[in-house]
Amino acid sequence: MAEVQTTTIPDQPRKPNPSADPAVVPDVASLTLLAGTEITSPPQDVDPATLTPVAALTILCRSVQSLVDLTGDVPPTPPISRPATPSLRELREGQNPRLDVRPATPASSIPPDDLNGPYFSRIPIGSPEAHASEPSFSKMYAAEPLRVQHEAIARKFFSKKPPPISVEAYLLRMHRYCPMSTAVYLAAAAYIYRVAIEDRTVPVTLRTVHRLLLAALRVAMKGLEDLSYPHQRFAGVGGVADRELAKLEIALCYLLDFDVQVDNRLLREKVAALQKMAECGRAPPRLNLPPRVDHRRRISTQLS
Amino acid sequence: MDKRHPNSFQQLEKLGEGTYATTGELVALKEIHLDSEEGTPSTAIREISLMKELKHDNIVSLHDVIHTENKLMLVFEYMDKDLKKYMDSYGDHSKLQPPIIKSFMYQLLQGIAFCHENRVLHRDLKPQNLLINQKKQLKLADFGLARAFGIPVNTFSNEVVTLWYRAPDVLLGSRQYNTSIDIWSAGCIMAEMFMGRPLFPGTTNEDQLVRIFRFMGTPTERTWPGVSQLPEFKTTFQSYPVTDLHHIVTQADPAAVSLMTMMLQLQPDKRISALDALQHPWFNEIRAKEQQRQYGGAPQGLPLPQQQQQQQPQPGYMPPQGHDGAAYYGQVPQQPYSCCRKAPAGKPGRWEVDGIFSVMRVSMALGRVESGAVAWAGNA
Repeated sequence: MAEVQTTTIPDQPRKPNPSADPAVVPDVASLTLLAGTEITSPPQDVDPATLTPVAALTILCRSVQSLVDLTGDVPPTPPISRPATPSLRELREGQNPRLDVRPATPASSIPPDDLNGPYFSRIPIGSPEAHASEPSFSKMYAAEPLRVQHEAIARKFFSKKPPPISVEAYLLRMHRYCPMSTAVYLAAAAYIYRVAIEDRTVPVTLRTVHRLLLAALRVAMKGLEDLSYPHQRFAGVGGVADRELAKLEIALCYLLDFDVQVDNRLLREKVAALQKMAECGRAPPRLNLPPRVDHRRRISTQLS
Repeated sequence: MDKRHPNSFQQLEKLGEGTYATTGELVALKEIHLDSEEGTPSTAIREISLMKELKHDNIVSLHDVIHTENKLMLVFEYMDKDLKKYMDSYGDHSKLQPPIIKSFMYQLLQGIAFCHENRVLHRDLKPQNLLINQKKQLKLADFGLARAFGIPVNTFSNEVVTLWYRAPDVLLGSRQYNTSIDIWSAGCIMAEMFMGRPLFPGTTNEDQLVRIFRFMGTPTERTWPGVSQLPEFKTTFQSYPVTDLHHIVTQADPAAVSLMTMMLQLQPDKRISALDALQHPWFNEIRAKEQQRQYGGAPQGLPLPQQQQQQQPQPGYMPPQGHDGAAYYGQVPQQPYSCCRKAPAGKPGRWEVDGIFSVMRVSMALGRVESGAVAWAGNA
């Protein structure tokens, strides 16, 4: 491919790097002004071209909060009985790669001088749900259907218990330390609409909403902006470890099937649909349904 | 032998940098390292998400994205050479013949027009990013710097486009640039095909501007209203007169010079659009041949892209049909792109797309798709 070839041609100018452009860095000094931002009632008109970032944030916050209220607590997908679950003997032979995986680490804190601005305190959002002791991987295991893969990916977004920070406080915190643009906030809302309502791969509950928001904002910013915040800073503000943020973002990319790009028409439609769903105050029938895949039936079929 | 085991497939010989063979078809692989410090590179997210949407005869197809432990593997359609290598190996002192230049430019502009219709800027057009196959089809590649435009974002970098092909408005520090920056690059590439060397091989930002002004004249408020407001504009720029392009690109015929002049306008608003450029008289014979072919005439002469007009621009994302995956079982997905999609029924662990066979396995707890193999021979 071209990349390989460019490196071998010495007389070529270097490849440009948009994120190396210092002038695109948002004005950090203006951060303190944002500290007093409050989330008021969301505007009805969702015209991405004229919406301010704070209004977009408000829409995102309000509709996601309503989704949380409507959905209630959906348990994560239960551990799935798998035909290739390794036997104990295999485990004793050290073939379980899960054993090499580090347990979830607590949130990393960012040194305050990273910002040259207000100090923010560490705010953990809990550890992921998956049990470290659960044997679940085998090299003999072949590909699963897409939905089963998605179930597995969805488990990454569950916290063991609801994090002790409200959606509003969490988003305001993100906005305060990592202010983002209208398009990024609306795109995050569109992504959440897709996974929660269109595909129903991850339910929006108190246990998933923080990780979903964090991953959606991260992917939207990387996909749409020329510059995104340093990984460590974004993870620190979001209350997760660097590695976990890396896993969350690629997980969301796969859940979205890499349909990350948006335009104004799509943003308007998706956000309006999300708002309508969230604000009409009554749960659409399918929100009360369990996740799309019926595990109990599948497992019982396998057992019978 | 257990069909589900990756070892039951034979990985073919590695052909060259980033290239693997299948029995029927070659694919090109691009590996992207996943850094745990920075996560997935934004260039990878951009490239995958944009190329997935941009399906066109003159844009390289992305077949698949495979996620392994610490890297993403992008599976592209195989192309023989990039335009730079093509010029070096087939050109006369890297100069190409006018008919082939015309064909390449027509295809390049078709690809650019399709990107722009879909509100995507490529932002790194250069000969190394234009790939040529044996049928002399030209396709745009490397969308790592590309981006959608027209959405309310905060950051619009002017650290874009490789220096030699960078438009003067970007060099002068503009962040309000638009589709016209790709047209400037295309104009530079066209001149390079005639001349056999880059039109403006600058070494620094300033040197690049001086080289451009020396040929195209130094802009003033009179010739380019608003130019003095651009961040990098200096009143101390040496004043050069305008040189006619046919004195510089002596190999080009008058019609070609006319088109090049329209593409290489200093003022971005004056640059021709890709769609209008395709209607330029220089392409008359290509358009005539295309029409002839559409109405049943025998194809003659240079191979040309087929029936691109039928492709409608796709305004943004539309979810594929049968999204839960069930619709794909037992059939080849309609779109060549697919990510972690399951095998046809009865063939666990494998799926087939356009002659590429790949094996994937999933770590359930990690939720990660692992790939045992990438390009495989036949129905092992």
